[in-house]
Parts: sequence; C-alpha cells; structure tokens
Amino acid sequence: MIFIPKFLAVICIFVATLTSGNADSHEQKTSITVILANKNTGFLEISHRFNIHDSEHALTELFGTSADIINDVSTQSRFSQYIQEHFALRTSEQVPIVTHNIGHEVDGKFFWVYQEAALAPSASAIEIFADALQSVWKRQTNLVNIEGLGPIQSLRFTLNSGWQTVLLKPI
Amino acid sequence: MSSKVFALTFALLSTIAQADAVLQTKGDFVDKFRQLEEILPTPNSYRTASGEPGHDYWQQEVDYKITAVLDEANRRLSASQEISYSNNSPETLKYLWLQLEQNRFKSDSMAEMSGDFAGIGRRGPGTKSNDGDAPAGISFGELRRQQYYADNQPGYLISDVTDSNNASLPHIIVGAQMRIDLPKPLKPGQSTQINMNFQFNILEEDAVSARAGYEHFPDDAREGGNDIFLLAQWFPRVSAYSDYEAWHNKEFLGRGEFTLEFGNYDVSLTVPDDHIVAATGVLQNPKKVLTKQQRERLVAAEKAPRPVYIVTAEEALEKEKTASTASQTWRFKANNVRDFAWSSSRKFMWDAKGHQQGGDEQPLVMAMSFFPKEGGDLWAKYSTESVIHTMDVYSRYSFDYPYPVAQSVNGPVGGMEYPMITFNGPRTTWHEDGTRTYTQAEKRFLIGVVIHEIGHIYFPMIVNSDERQWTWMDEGLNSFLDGVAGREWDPTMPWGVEPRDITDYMKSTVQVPIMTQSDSVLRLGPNAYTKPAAALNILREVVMGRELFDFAFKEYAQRWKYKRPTPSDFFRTMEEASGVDLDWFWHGWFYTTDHVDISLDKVSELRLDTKDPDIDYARRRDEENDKPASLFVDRNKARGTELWVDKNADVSDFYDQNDRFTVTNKERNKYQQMLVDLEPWERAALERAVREDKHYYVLEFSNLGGLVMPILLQLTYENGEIEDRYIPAEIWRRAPHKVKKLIVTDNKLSAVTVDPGWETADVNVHNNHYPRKIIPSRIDAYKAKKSKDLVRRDIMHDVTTELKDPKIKLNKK
Repeated sequence: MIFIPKFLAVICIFVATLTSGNADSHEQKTSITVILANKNTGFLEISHRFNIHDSEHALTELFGTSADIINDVSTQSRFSQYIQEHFALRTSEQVPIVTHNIGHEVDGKFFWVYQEAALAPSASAIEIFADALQSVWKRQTNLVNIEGLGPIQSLRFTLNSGWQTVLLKPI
Repeated sequence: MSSKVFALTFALLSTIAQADAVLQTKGDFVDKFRQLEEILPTPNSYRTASGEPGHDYWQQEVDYKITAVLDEANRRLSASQEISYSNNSPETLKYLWLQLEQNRFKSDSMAEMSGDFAGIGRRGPGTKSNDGDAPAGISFGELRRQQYYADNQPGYLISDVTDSNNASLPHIIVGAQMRIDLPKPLKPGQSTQINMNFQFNILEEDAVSARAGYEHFPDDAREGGNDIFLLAQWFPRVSAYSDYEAWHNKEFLGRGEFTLEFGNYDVSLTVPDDHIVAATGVLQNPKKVLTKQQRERLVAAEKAPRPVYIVTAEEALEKEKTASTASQTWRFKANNVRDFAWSSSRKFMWDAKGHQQGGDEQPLVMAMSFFPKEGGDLWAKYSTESVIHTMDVYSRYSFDYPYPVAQSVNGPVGGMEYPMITFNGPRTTWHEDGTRTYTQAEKRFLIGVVIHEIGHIYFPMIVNSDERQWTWMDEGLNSFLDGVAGREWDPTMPWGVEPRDITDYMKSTVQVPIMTQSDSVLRLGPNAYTKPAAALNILREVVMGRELFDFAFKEYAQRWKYKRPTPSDFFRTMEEASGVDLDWFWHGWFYTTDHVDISLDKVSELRLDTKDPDIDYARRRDEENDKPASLFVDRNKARGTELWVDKNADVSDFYDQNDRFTVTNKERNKYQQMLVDLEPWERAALERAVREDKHYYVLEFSNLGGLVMPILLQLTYENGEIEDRYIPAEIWRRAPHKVKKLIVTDNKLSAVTVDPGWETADVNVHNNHYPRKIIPSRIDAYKAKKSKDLVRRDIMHDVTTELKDPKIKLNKK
C-alpha cells in the first residue's frame, strides 16, 4: 500500500491555527535534516529535505490555496518559510540560536531548504526542535542528523518529541 | 567499572550471545561472509534449500459466497456469507481463526487501547503532548475522530454462525479476531462450510484512516450530496494457516497488512441502481446492470488505441444530481484471488482499454478506471494508461498478468491494493472559475501511485508474501519495480529510488533492520519501501548485473506465483538462480543497520627494480635530484656565498666527478651472476616485467560503515584517460575493516575515485577521492549555482507572456 493518512490541522488547546479539510498524500511522511558543522566556515549548515509528493497536499491545507511546489515560486517560498518556522535551535541555556535563510530548491522528487547558523565555539550542546508537517500528519517523522562533530548523531522527531538535546564537541 | 556498568555490559553480551550461535570472541575480526544457514529456517519438504516450493508444499483454500446490501442512507453494510474451507495441510484442525479488521476501529480494540497519546504508530490524525514548553495539543482531525467514534459504532455485528447443517457453531471474538470451533476436527484433505451474517457501519475514511470507507461530497448538485464507497477488509476472513507459522493470528493493529488464502469468490452486491460498481472479479450479469450502450462501449474498448468511456463525464455529472430509491444487484466472480474489494458510487465516470498482452493464460486484460469529476482530466488521461504500462513492464520481470481485469478507482484512499482492483487518491484542484487543474507533482503522484498499486497485484496479491510480518517483501520489491516502470514511462519523472536517496537514513543512528515486523518498525517509509528498493537496485546494477538479477528475480516470481513465499525463499532463489553467493548482502542490508562508507585512505606507487645497476642506480639519482633543494643552500646561493670547492677548484679528486650512484663493474658482475642463477621462468618473468615497465600501485581502503560492498574504482591517468575497475565485495572476506589492493597499469595514475557514480549508497563521498578533493557542502554548492537556477523561474506566470517582435534599434554612425 501507499500510506494515506488524512488531513488534520493541529490546534493547541488554546489557539486554533488551521482550518480543517481533506488531503491525500504519498507514502513516506518523513523528512531528513542534516546539520553539518562546516569546519571551513565555522557555521552550522542546515539542509532540510522533504518529499514533494508528501508535502504538496499538506501545503494546500496549510496555505488554504492550491500548492505547486515544482513550478510555483511563491509556493516554494512559503513552504521554505514554513519549514524554517518549524525548525529551531537553541543553546543548552535555552537561548535561541539565530538561523539565517540561505535559500531553497527543487531537486528531483525532493524540496530542499538551506539555513546557516553561527555556533559559539565553546558550545557543548544544542537543543533542536523540528515539527514540520506534524500538524498535518500524525505519522510525519523528521530525522535530524548532526554531522561534522565526531561520530554522527541522529534525532528522530515525532509529534511527541518537543525539544531534544544533542551533545557537541566544539568546532 | 561500576557494578551498574558491569551489569549492563554483561546483559548486552548475553543478548548478543543469545542472538548469535557462533561468536567471534577474540580480536576484532567480523565474518561478513558467514553463511546465512544459521539464520534462515531449516529447509524441508515444503520449502527447499533452493528457495522453491518443496514437493510437499501445500496451502489452504478458502472460497467465499457473499451477498451484501449497501444501505446508502445509513452508510451501513449488511451481508451473509458461506465460507468453504479446504484443509490441504497435513494437520488436523479443530478450529478456524478469522480476521475481523472492522473491530480494530472499536474503542476496546487492542489497536485503540494500545495507542500512545502523541506517539507514533497509529495511522490517522494526530495529538501532541505537553513537552514542558508548549501546551498539549489535539488536532481537528483527532477531534473529528473522537466525535466520529462518539456518534458511530464501528465494528462487526456478527450473528448466525452455523455449519452446513445450520447448526450453531461455538465461537469467540477476541478483539479483531474470531475463533470458530468446528463441530468435528477437520482432517487433512477435508473441507467444511461455515455460514454467518454480519453487518457494520461503514467508516468515514477521512475521519479514521482505515484504508477504506466512504467519502462524502456535500457540494454535489444533489441535495445532501453524494458518497463514494470503498469497501475493503469488509467481511470476516479466514486467517492464513501456513507451514511455517500455523495460524497467522496476529491481530490487525493498523499497520501490518492483510495476507489471506487464495480462493474463489462469488459476490453479489446490492446497491442503489444509479451506482456504478467496480470490484475484484468479472461482472457476471452485465445485461442486468449495464445499458446496451455501455456494453457496446466495453466491447469497443477491447481494441481501442486509447481508453473508451463506458460512463462519460456528462453522464456521471447528470447522475450526481438525483438519487434513485431503487436498487440492483451486481454479481462478480473471481477465481484464485486472496482477497476481494469493491467500490460503489453514482459519481463514477468509467473508462476502459483492452490490454492485448497475448500469451495463453490471459491474452486480453481490461484496464479500467473509475473516478468522479474531482479526478477530472488527470484521471482521464493517465489512470488507465498507467494501469496498462504497469502490466506491460511488470510482466517482463515476473509473469503475464493472470486476471481478466485491472482497475484503478479514485476515492478517499491515497493508495491501496487488492486483487484486480486498486484505490488511488490523486485529484485535481477546483478553482473559482469552475476549472480544474493539477500540479506537476500531482501528475507524477497519479502515475506513480497507480503503477505502485497495480504493481501490488503482482506483489503481494499473487506472489503472496505476508505483509504483516515482512512489509519489505511487498513494499520493497514493488518499490523497486515501480521504479523500473516509472523510468520506462519518463526518466525525467523522479519516481524511482536512487541509492543516494537513502544515505542520510542509513547513516542515522535511529533505525531498525529491514527484517523487523511491520508494527514495530520505527520509520516505515525508509525501512520498508526505500531501503529495500535501493538494495535491490544496487544488487541489480552493481553486484549481480541485470542479466543475472532479472533471471533470478523472474524465477522467484514464477516459483511463488499463487503461493506463499518467505524471506528465505526470496534470498535462496536469488542465489540459487544466479549462482552468486549473496549471503553477505542479505545479512548486511536486511539483518543489520550498517551502512556503506568505504574510504580510500592511501595510494602508494611502486616501481619494479630491474636489478640492472645501470638502470636502477640512474633511477635513484633521478629520485634524489627530484627532491627539493635545501632552503639553507638556496639562500646561501641567493646571498652570493662563495663555496669552498669553487674557490679551490684546483683541489679535486675522483669523487668530484663520480657521485654515489656511479655504477662499477662490481655491481654489473653481481647483476650478471644473478641473471645466470635465476631459474628460466624467473628470468623470463623479470625480463618481461622490465620490458613492459608497468606502474604498480597499492590502494588502501577502510570499511568505515560496516556494510561490505564491491569497490567501484575509477582510475584517471596523467594522459587524461579514464578507466573503471570493479573489485568484488569478497575482497573484505578475511579483512573486514581494512584491505589493500595492488593494481598494475600501463600509464601513470593521477587520481583514483571510489564509486564515482554514487551507485553503492556510500554515505560519505569526501573520502572516496585520492588525492582528496575539495567537495563543496550542499549549501556551498547551492550558493554557487542559485543565481542560475532555472527552477526559480515563475514558469506558470512567464508562460502567459505574449510573444513580441523585438524592438529594432537604429544604428547610425
């Protein structure tokens, strides 16, 4: 089969953020984010990869209009903005780490969003939040790989994940 | 070591010891090529060591005769069924187990009761727990689901369970399963009949995500709107009973799917008489339920070059406006199928095209699609054609499509497969001006999902693997083949799985082996679809080659057509039919979470000494002269420091004319004596080697990912030539961590690259180059190219630009 979860719009208990509706989607319901510590620049490079098939129906519901990721630049920009709004870094003291938008692109069946962030050389840990599309699909799982700082570390974000911590070796 | 750490270490070692009967307990050697016989089940007369059904192979047969009535107004189904169960096993059965999937949606089902609030695993709407920073959340979808359950009673109402003499049979319902105790033990070779009535409220698919159900269309012209009904897992079905698992009575939890026994179905479906019904099987009473015109259109479709409408858009739209109060019965028969599904709606357009595949078994297959106006042109153009394309491709890799129909139905389910019929979800988008369009992604989705679901009719509807135990056996094989079919449709449509697509998942630390039971897999998509599909792709393109792979894969499909294979049958057949030992591949890819990361650590150049001092001493002199000069000496020279030997040129001796590389007859005599002392074959070998003067390189590799793979080498020579070489995975058999390889070349090397085409799912390409290359990060590469990125053009807007004549610029001197 191909998975077919239906649309749902997440509300917090206090604030309704989205309207209800129907949407079909493709099977994967997963994204992969790579946080790469680039030793040449000293920056954390953040690459988010989403399946276009997975995402387009969700965006139709999220944006309230038809979504065309492949050809419509405004859809791409809004999806990129959405992904960035649903990804966050902060220090272990819970001070936000500012991420900068680098851009986005369609590459085959994937939509990529790129960000950069400066990381204090002395940082021993960062906390990560990644809940994109989980308000639409309960099954959405966002995998985050942290690379370039010793052995790869991975975090799996499901609806229940909230903030997760990864210990670092300084760049 | 603290006692806690010690205890934990001991526990881990104990676990490992239990998992593996043969252990390497000294050193760090890992036998990546240990044969799988220790893991695979012992072959027997039902399943042979070659991976094919044994001479005593058996499987049960279950035939159904069902009459069902669809109560459209109340969205309820009432039915009765006669089950004929044939015990072909060598065992005597005292009871039968049945699957009651509709009960999975009752509030007291194991699936519902074991649901983890805000956890993973359950299909459908979501919840979100309080994580300390944000309040707990509940989705509109979850609210809808809860409210649906409050207002509706899901689950079966089963009554009158009797034998062929109408005597009541004792039975017990255990969650989503039911055991029926037989009046007397059913011996091998005997058959028995069971009758029962059942009813249930049809689920609203959009509310509960059940792989079936109804979808309501409130905006149709008819007051109150219309529905599309998709019916699957809609009757109590006898569980599979096999030689390797006995009763497959593992309860349906929502993810692991629905293997059943093959059998013959005779199903009568009573629905409103303005409905169109699509079902598993062949319609038995077309004269009763179809108009003469529709029957004539069906005949015309058999040899039509493009799909022919049986029910046109206009006819379907007209039917949407009203509803009939009368009903009629559609009767279908299907032989040798492992399930039965159907759909019904007055909204359906219906098109058909004959697939003239030839052969003896089923020369003509009717490919058909059923879709509402919401499917529109997207469906009209591509659904039925995709059905035919799938059969065209899949049959080349397996067997001729054996059933008389292959159908694609649009409804509320994104994609789901049943024998002869599939449910597919892509739709068009309605605009306020009344038009309907679709995006390029939606077009790819429709073509891709139809290929995928029709492909499932081969795997697992005919090659009947158990999805609940081994999801990869149908999803993985099918994702591999849908990639083959997709690339034959349009290679620019990025549908198939490339090895590079799976690397980030495979190097992550949160994953489970492919050989994990479906309900326990953490991330089903990469685990059951993408990784096994990538593995098969690599097996075909890199390890075995297409000729061997395709032959073995087809052999597997044909051996297990209409039978029940297990993973060991697949693994063994692929090896046995190809003559390639693949145990290392199956073990690494399917039983572990290792990944591929082969590093080219070092390349050393060697040169054969000729032993001839006149040659070798001169080479040593050249090597010495090639070394950089001393900075000290250079600076002295730059400063004009006059050397003693220059200032006193009149004082010189023999060594001022002859350096330490000077050859004397002493060395020449020794060389000549050495030649005389050589065995003739040694002399010939040396002479030839000296004559050819080849280049010798030692390449050193590390296996950093754990997964052994062939080493694909690309050699670049100083003269610009490029050569590809292949080192089989077996190079790792006695040295799983580091290996060296001597290569001999005619020309001098300038660079070596491992896996230049990214064909092996190597997760780190930085260490694949020697000398190392500066490879920009993805973001660096993006920054470099983004100004030229064609995809950033607003083509949809720009395409409306009117063509204008260029403005002529007047040139004057």
